[in-house]
Amino acid sequence: MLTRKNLRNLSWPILIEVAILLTIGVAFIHSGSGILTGPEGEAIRLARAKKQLVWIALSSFVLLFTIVPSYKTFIENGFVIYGACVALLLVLLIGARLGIFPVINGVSRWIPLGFMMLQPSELMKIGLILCLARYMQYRETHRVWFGLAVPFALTLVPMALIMRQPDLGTALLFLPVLFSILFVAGSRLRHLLVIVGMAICVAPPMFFFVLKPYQQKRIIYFLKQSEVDSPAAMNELYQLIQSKLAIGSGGLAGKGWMEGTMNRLNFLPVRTTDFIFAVIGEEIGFAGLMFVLLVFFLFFASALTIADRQEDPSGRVLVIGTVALLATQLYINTAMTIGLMPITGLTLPFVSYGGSSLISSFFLLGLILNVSMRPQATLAKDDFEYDDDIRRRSNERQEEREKVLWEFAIRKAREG
Amino acid sequence: MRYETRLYIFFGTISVFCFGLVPLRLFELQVIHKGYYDELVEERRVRQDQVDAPRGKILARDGTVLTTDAATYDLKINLRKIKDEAELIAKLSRMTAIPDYQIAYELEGLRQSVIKNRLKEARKEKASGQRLIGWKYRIADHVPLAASTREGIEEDLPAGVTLFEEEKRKWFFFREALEEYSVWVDFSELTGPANDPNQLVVSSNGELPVHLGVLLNIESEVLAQKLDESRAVLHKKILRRAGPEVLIPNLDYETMIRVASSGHEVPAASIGTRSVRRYPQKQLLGQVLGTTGKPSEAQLKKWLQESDDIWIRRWARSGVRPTSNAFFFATLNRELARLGLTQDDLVGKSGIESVFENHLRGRRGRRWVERDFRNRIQDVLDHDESSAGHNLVLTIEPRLQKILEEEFDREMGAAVFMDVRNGEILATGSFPNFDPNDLVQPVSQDTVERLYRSRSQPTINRAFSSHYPLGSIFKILSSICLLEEGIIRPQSHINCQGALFPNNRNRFRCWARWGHQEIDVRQALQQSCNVFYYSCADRAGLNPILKWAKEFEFGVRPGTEVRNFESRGILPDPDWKRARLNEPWYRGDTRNLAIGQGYLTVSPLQVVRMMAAVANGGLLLRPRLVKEIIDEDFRRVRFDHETSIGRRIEMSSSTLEVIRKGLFDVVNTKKGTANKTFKDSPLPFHLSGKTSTAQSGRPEGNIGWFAGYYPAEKPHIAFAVVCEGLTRAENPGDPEEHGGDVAAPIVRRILERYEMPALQPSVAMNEDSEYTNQDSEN
Repeated sequence: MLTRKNLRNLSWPILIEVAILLTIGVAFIHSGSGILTGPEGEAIRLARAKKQLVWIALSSFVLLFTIVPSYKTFIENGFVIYGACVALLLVLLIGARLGIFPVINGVSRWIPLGFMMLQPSELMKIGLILCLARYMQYRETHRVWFGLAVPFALTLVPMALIMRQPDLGTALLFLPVLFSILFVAGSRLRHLLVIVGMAICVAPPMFFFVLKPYQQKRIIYFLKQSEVDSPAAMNELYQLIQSKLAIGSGGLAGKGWMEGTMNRLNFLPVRTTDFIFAVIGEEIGFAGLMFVLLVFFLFFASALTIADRQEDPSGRVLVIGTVALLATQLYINTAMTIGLMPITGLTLPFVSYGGSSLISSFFLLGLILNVSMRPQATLAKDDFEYDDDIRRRSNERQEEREKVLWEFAIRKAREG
Repeated sequence: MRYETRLYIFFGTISVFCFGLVPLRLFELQVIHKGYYDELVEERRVRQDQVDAPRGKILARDGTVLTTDAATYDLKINLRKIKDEAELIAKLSRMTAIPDYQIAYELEGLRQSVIKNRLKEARKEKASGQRLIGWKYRIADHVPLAASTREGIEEDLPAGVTLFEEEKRKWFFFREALEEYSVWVDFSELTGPANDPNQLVVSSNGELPVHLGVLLNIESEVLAQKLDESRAVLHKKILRRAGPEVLIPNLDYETMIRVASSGHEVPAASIGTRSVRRYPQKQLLGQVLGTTGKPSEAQLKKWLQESDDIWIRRWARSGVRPTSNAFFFATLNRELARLGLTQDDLVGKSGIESVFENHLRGRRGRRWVERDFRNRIQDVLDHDESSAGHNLVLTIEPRLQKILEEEFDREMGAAVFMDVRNGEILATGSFPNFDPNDLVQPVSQDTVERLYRSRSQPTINRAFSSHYPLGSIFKILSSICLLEEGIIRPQSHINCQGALFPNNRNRFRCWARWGHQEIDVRQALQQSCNVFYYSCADRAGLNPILKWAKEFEFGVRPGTEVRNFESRGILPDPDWKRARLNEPWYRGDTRNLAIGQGYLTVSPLQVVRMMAAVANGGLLLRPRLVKEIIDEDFRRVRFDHETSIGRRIEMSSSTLEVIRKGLFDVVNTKKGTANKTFKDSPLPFHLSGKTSTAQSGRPEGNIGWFAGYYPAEKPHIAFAVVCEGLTRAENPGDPEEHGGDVAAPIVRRILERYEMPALQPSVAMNEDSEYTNQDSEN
């Protein structure tokens, strides 16, 4: 339960940064919702912006729910939550095969609950982080080769299930989370690098044998984006081209709020959700985007400060995982609008329009705040403080000891 | 490594991606390449539209409007707003007084055409690389195929059909040997089995599913049914997006008001306006005014000769087109827009409309509008004024023209009335005539049938563009020639015995069986004696006659403003006969030429010129149709047309005197060939003229002429009237129609109504008596 001390420890900077991001989001959702001109268009804009505010209010309840009990409670139940999420994914997969859940364009991501569309993969992100935190908190096994198997298995199973949906974008979010957690929790860099190297070696055959032809095509067109001229490629890259045009024409200072032509004239697709970054880029330009990125930078910095101060290992893993997830999402979303990454349907956390995106972002935010509110002091050695040279040093010490012993024995022999 | 160090490395990595790479790329896009993206955005955002400019009017000399731009009203139906179709049909039928079954039929036709047009458009859009959403339909699921089979049939798939690899249907880690595919049909790429470009919609004859079914090993009935279902869905979608479409074109004003005022009853119906060419005087002067239509390729090329764009210039000059259609049409339209034109403009196709195209055509304005992604206008950014075309004032005297068209009672023929002082054409008619309003889009099939396929060819301007055998009227020219060349004197007499060779009465006959006995040239003209001219032609030979025919410009276009549509006629000479018939020139040909028979053909316009020259003392006038050109604000516009009104022909006044007397006698003396018609005429002046009946050699019958001028003493107006299809005598003694019986009464009736407007009632009575006279005589 909340105490006054907890509230005193609450990280206010994070709340302020998120509030700024939410404000920017609402402003550009308002600007980006103009499907029509004139009063009707204005009504649609207002309705959209209001809806987002309602979602923010709802998400705040979620936030409350995540900060009132100690994060330890979540972590204690980490495996249960993880299991529930995996079960949901399975239900979705089987339900879609049996035709119970809707399959839209060959994709099944949602479980209809009547009042909302539940997206199990969003829950899975949280479940995975909690589960990894639960698993890692008192262990040191991840420092040896064999010990990496369990965390990897915990990550790859839900990844595989999500890839079956198929939702490659969300599935690929899990890897940076896993790697970040392992790295910060003290896995050997050598091990992680070898795994990355192996993944790189496996990538080309994966590309040819596992990916579907349409996915291959998408990647090829993405790589050749500067030399597109065929209609098919234009078709494939339509969203990317429009978003590059929007951002590029924004210039240094932008065209002004509500004045972006690509936005106003509907050229930009899905611009309140996936491409809100492009709307911001067009309307307030390079300077505005830099400001948004600066706020994100401060947000991550504050979150990592919490991780730094927290001495409880599960709390650390929780914050690191959350930051890794949000940062990856930020990178993929911004990079795809400017042609650095292939386009996937990921939203910009806290800024994009949409209930499920907001709720899951707020849940993650709640976890960070929760950790900040409950700093734990430990008298023992800092967790995750490993001395990589311990064996060499102990060997040296042993040799030294043996040397001393030898000298002692020799002296004894001479004397005796 | 310490925990803190690891944290810093982690944060560093995040920052490199999120706050390093991304800002760098943003800097590249937004700061370095801003100009490039700005240009591309403008290209998408701004569209250039054209503003219509009205085409100039064509007016008669007193300002009566002959042709003008006008709005026409179409009944439009918004297919997506139809709720209760039966009710809609009933209401529309009541409003427009069109039977309900016809409206139902039109409605169905409209649906089909909307679908057809959208499909056509979609195909074009697809070809030009546009993104189309919602045109792909899945017509089969879970088609098991081995990968090798799939590769094999890939090429055989019809255009627009694609296979899409499916997720496994079975439990996800049991892999199957066969891949499963879904079959998708893209209707925007599908081409029909037949080569009919409109037949994009397949399977009505079952061909595509059979073919596909065999390839994929599916029952073709199932496939066909599925295809039909998806097609129905697509059609519904297309119809849902349709805007207002024309259901019934060219509503009359009352119907339009009725529909517009009760519009709330039928929300699906609306009235659309459209600018078309209108002819308020209906058929009046139809063939001269000409028609308008969309520009032909040749016309486009002519416009674009001096285009700035190298591709377009090359196309206009040598017909070489760039390979990309989309590029070509885009460039073409842009270049046309620069000139203030479009491919859909109305341009003159014939007659005055075509000759004065450059004056009549207005210059379109341009408008730069902001458009959204669906190409809808959001805002007007800038505009460029349009200017209306110039108005033409014709020399036509509308009252005379109207009387002429009302009084011409033969089925086929032509007439020209010309001012002998300056060559202005006061009236000209060609019969049968037609109402050019019928040729305003959309043209009905039976109009086409009636105007273009009929033997009488109403769209041809017979007064200018047709040529007929002339007959006796040519004797005027022969007489001038004989007198001027000194072959005869006015007093010279020749004995006509009914034939040139009394021994051989079948050839070179005179129309009077027993001849005219001793006659001079004046009497020869009066009575139209053939033998007189036969024998004189023998004396003169061919060359003087040809010389004088050329002097009067037979065989040459008279040179009105619409000279491209004028006929030259044929002035036969030995070379012509050799080239055309590969026969030598006989003396008989010369004799025939002297009386205007044989190979000679002339247009009514040429005849009226000759008559005018006789009337005004030898000035061969250039006929003129256009009096002046004025702009929107009634200021005169100079137009680069010849300013000389004609050419003087050197003739002695005594010759002209003799000819004029002869022509006077034709009408006003007892033996004159036209006297029968004019002897009891109430006209307050004398007429001079000449009748003629020419053997046409065509099955339709002979050609009857009456040409002349009035008043005889001080000529003012010259005229020529020609009638086709005179009955011919099959055997000697059968009744036969002559020019004097057919053409001359027309002239009389016209003049009585035109010159004596006050006496019209009595004119009408006279008309009746004249008919009875004629009947009794024949």
